[in-house]
Amino acid sequence: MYSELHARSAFSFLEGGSLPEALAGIASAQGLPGMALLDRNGFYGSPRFHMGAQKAGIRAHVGAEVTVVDAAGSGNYPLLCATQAGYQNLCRLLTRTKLRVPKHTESSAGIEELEEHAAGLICLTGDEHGPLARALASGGAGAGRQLLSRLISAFGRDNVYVELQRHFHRDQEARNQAAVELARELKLPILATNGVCYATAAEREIFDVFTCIKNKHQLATAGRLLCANGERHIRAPEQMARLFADLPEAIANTVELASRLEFSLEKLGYEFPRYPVPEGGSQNEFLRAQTMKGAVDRYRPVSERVRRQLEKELKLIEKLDLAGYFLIVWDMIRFCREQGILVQGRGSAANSAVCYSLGITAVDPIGMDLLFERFLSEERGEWPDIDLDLPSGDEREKAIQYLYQRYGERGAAMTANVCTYRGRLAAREVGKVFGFDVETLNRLSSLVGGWEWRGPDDTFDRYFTNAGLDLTRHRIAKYLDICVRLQDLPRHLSQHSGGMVICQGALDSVVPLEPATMPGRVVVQWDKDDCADLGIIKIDLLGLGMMAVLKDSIGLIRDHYREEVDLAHLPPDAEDIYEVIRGADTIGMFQIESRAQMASLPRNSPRKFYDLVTQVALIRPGPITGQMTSPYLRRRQGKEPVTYPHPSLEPVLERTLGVPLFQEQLLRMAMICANFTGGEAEELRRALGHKRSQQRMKEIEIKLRAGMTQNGIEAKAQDAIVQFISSFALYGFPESHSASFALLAYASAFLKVRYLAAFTAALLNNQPMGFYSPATIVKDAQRHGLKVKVIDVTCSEWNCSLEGEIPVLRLGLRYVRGLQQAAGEVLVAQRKLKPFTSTEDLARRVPELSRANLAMLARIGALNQISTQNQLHRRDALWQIEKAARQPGPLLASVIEDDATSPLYRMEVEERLIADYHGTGMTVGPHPMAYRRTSLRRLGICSAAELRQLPNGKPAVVAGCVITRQRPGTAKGLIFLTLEDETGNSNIIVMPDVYSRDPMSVLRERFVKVKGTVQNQDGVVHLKAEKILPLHVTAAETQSHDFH
Amino acid sequence: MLFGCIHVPDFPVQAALHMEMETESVSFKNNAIAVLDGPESLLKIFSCNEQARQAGIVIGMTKLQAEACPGVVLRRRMAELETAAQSDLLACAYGFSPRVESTAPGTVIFDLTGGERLLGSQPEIGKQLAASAEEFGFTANTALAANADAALHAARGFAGITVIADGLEALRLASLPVEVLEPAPEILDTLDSWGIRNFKSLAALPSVPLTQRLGQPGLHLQRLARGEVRRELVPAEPPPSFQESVELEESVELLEPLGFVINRLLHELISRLRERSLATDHLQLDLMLEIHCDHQLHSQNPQAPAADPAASPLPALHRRTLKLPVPTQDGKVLLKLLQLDLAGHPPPAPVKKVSVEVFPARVRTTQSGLFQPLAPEPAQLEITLARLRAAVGEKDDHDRDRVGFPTNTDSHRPDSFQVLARAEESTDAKRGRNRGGQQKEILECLPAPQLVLRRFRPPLAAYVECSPPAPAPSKSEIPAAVIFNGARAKVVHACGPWRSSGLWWDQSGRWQHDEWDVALSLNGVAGLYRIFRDAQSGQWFVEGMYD
Repeated sequence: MYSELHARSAFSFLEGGSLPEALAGIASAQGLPGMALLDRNGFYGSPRFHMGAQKAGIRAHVGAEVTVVDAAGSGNYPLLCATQAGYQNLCRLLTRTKLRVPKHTESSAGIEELEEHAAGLICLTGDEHGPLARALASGGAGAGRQLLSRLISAFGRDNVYVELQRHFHRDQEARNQAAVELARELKLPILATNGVCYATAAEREIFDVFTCIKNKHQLATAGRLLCANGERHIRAPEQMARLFADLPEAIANTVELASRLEFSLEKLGYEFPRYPVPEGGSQNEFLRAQTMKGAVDRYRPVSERVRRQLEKELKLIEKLDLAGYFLIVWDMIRFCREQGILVQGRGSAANSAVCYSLGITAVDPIGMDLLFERFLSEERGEWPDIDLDLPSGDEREKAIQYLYQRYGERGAAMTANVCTYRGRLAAREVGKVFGFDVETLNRLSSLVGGWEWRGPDDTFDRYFTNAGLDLTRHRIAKYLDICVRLQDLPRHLSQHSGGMVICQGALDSVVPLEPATMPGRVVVQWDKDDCADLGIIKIDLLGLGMMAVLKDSIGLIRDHYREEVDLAHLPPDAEDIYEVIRGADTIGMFQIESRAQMASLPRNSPRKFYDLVTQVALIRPGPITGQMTSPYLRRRQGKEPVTYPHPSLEPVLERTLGVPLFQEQLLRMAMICANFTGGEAEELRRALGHKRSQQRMKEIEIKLRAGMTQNGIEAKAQDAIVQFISSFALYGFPESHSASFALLAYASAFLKVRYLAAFTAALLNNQPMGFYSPATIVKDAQRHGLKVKVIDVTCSEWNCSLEGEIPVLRLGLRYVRGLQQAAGEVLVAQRKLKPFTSTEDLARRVPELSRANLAMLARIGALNQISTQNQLHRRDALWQIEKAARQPGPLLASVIEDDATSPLYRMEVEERLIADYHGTGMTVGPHPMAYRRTSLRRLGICSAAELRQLPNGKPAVVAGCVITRQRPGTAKGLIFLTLEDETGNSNIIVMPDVYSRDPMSVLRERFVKVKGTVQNQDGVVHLKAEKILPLHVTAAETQSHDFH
Repeated sequence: MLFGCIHVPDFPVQAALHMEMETESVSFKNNAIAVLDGPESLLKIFSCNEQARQAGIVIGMTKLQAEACPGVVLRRRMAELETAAQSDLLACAYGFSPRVESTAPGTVIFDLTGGERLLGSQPEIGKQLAASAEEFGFTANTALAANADAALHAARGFAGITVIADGLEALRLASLPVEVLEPAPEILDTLDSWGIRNFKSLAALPSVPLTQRLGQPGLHLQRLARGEVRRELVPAEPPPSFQESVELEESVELLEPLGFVINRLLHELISRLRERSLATDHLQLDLMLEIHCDHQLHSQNPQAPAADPAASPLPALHRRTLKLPVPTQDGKVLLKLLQLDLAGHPPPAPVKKVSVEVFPARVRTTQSGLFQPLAPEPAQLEITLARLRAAVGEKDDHDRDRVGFPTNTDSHRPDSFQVLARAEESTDAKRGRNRGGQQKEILECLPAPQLVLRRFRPPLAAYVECSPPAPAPSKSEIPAAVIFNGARAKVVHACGPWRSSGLWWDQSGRWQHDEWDVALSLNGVAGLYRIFRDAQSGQWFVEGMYD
């Protein structure tokens, strides 16, 4: 028998060629009872290896190769965790070494540090980069003896193994002989390993490519940096026994050592922090008190039903000992409230009345009749998941820093995000390694990727062919082959957008911590899935642009409308708001502004809050590809009877008219139809939301069908149910999450309808976000009656602001192209001290403004009001700034010039449009299409407003500025264009054949003329394009928001 | 004063077509043509004519995008063609004046002062210029004016023939766009933002405020726009030629008389180099051969080989190129090198014309360090190497030089080396030595005796009998007997296999060796050998013998 106790995975980042799961799978197939994954300076791959090994039925031993600097230089010490104490020691050692160097810098420990953390660890002497090889190289047997003696004194005689590897190298064998002699002399056990770097011999190629990427070499020049042969793969026990036939104890010792390795990641020792409650009380009592206090404020008054529900939840929380977790989240919410940071919980937490009472979530789960068990169940025995949405930017950072301060640098950290090789990165890096020129790689990279939708032709082969690479040539075929094989292998670690883990005691004893690129941030070595797999609780602090918009809107409403808006108590189901939503007049509104949402809003016709909840969930890849969207909408309109796949599912699907739209419904379906237990349903849920779900889904499908057959459900109904469930693998919302988002959607709609100026200003101040560009938002607001004023240095702030009794919007300096915020803020500060009197005065008092800044301000008309003598036109200002920004020589300094005049002509309309779009990305004047309307009408081209009036099937021609282009992954190659003119937007559908006839017009043109047939159904109007032609309207640089 | 200007619009396009035969169906006037430039993998549109612009071609488009535009003929940009076209343009101008300025690619200005008496009135001169340009194969704009820049801008801006009377420059140029002045991008941007789009509006701006804003460059542009700038031409100079040739009255068959001819040509060229303080490190000798066949050579081009190889198996041209490590002005060295080269590669037929071209280089300054050991004189060394090359041949079976400085290459492949032309270590070898250093140290530090391998180059093919694999350490079988050099040797002891492989990405170069160190008993004498099996062919070889 033989256990492989020295293996590296691709999580050694460019020093291993296989994924941990692949290593576990092959090890099992080769008949190994266990394997130790020793990634370089970390446990990056350990959780995935642990899960993979569990599945493959082998033991996963834990350890790492640690770079240690000693007298002979730096060497890699393979260390195995024998006990939990050993694991914790290694975690702390790795954390210490990682945190003292910047990210992306090789870390190393000192030999004394290693000795300090040696307890519970077993040290192997390593391969050619290990300590023994280096000692032998530097000082022969004497140095080797000295090293081993030092290791014995640090780790103990029983915990040092002299490692032997046989990869058919002469020098390795010479080293082995020296090592065996030393082992015999010092009475140390010898241990055979294969120093595995990849699962199978074929992956040596990947390993070589990684070596080149790491060392920035090409394959042709890497020379002896590459492996001499491909022998570092997993070998079967009998192969290893044959290889070490002369040293059988080296094989036998692997089994003996494996039996000594008690530690596994199941015994991680993670504990969530306890909340410090006032003296004399328990966490449970404190939580109860806070919940009841909050419930009174929330429910006004607390009904018997609410009380019963709270009681039920609190009992379960107490039983599961989760009070501390709730209190810590509550504490976070309290901090945010105190700091004036808008915060809202989302995800399954919205199913809990306790969360609602504590102010964590804003949706009343009792009123909404949400399923509490989805959030917390006794059976599942896992930690609840609470995600908090915060305004993106500084305020979110403030919340993150609060957690660091409260739990200490070693007590809290962000979860990692594993960046893997995808199409473009693989093509570029592998191409460099193969020695292809930069231009070819650029071209290939530009071809790879593209739209979200992938047609059958969007393969690597095709990208290569299009880039002019001849696949019949061996080198190019190899390049392609490696690119494909590299997919999904990890490249490096980055920081997850918001997941934080905290720990009772030291988090650095649970998982090694690393510095993040962002100063003041620390990340763990595992991603959120790994953390979840190992039962580590994370709190997601997610930045949401709309939260910032809502917060800013409330501030502006307070200042300019003198009204106070409380988002928690907005008028429910206001008819005027729903009317606007039903009319799909939703630009700028959270979640319901996209083309697809707009197209379904008139059909879904929301009239109350729950309709919005379904609306938000409806336009998701899951329901769309699962073909649930259309049946639901038809049933909403009464065009189709409400039926159920099986009568037993009626209670589950009643609320959504027999069509499952939410994750909870699918879980309930599985439980009812296929007798899934709560745990199995939870596994299903994770498979649904999991990026590594293909295989899992297949397994679950088999289980589902077996259960349904048992319950006597016929094959047709089974297919429908499986279709519903498996399509959700493409992502769908849980009901509670949908409800949280619907709340934000309603709030944004409410603010837009009632306080348009404030909402638009806030929206413009938080760009980029959402579906539309600022130009579109401004034009939409103007169509709704908002007056928008140009940027003016005499009154514009950095942000967009409101002016006057009936608020009008003044664009902020932030929209001046190329103007730095610091310069803009100095300008505003100087103006507040004393108004500017001339361009020279401005240039002199705000030296931060460059000549280009001044020219840009003049060009967009922001300096027109600056002169105290008379109003300038844009060219006057341009004439003046050239003098103000330039020091004339002494000869010309004395020439006096009338400051308010110039020999230049005023800008024409077209010139002003060009300047506006170039300098601010928008115009507050008439839409460019408005100037052409008369001539367009003569050509029989109708406006967007006129198009909406045309009946179904009528041919029409419409023209406009392209504001969005979209080719969604779920739309079978269709392209959606939105054209804007002065009357509104028109929606164009481009079929793949029309696109292929003239892709340039679809992809590149800023203004187009579209000839097609009107599709006017249920108040939703599209033009199905037959021909798309470029149209010259203006040379202004209008922008389209393209979703590729 | 009178100046003329010929401007060839879309010059790269016209140059690309310039050398094409008239029978070619593509013409500048009738076809949409675009010229591509850039690396082969990413060709982009560099220039195009008006028809191509109308067909949708935009400068900077990729070849793929350009190919999507129907009816556009694509040509590759070639610097030689542009140089040749510019020479023709200069030749055209020299037909009218000895003082010609090569202003820009596709544009020449020349002094026509006093030319009216010889060539006629100004409009007539304009017509003659246009006609001459057309004869040279250009569709060009021509202009005459009292100052060079006015003529230049008129030719750039106006199609056809333009004649500007003295004093009317500002008036005539008024409608031209300011881009014709080719101002710096930032000035153009400022003028654009001011709404100054043509010469007239630029000329109308007040000069002092303009200078305050745009400085002297702005003022200069304004004076150009007003047609006020008067300047001297910078006459074009023909580039020096370093090529000499002689046509022999009677063909030469022997190398010795040929040497005299070459010597004379070299002498002339070397003096020309010396006059300009130049030397050469690159020389090309072209020998036109007299081929005795039934019909004459088809091609008049001396650089082209015989048109029909089947009819004339020998090429008409025998070309030899010499490259030296350092530039030299020593004619004797060059002659000696050429003679040695010709001795190794004699012309296959009598020589009827000899042509020598030297490529100029800067003279090498030599100042050796005080304590620097004396190295052989580079030129003498080159002669020695040339002699060696003539003696042993140039390349071996692996396409490596036979003469040079052997050095190890950085590879796991056993006995991998390259031959360098210079006595300097390649970076590859340096890097490899650093990488290999550690392994060497390990072996040196270990107590095992170090053996020296005497390599057989090339390795000796062998037949190896193997014993059954139990208990072989790997899939390989253990060698039991080796048969090579006609003898069978029993393997007394075998150690291995030592496995190495590489170049998996290269179909022709990939390799895998399984090496064994074997103690052989050969005719009762024991010896220690290294043998290997090439996994690609399955063939065994004896690689060397341990001392």
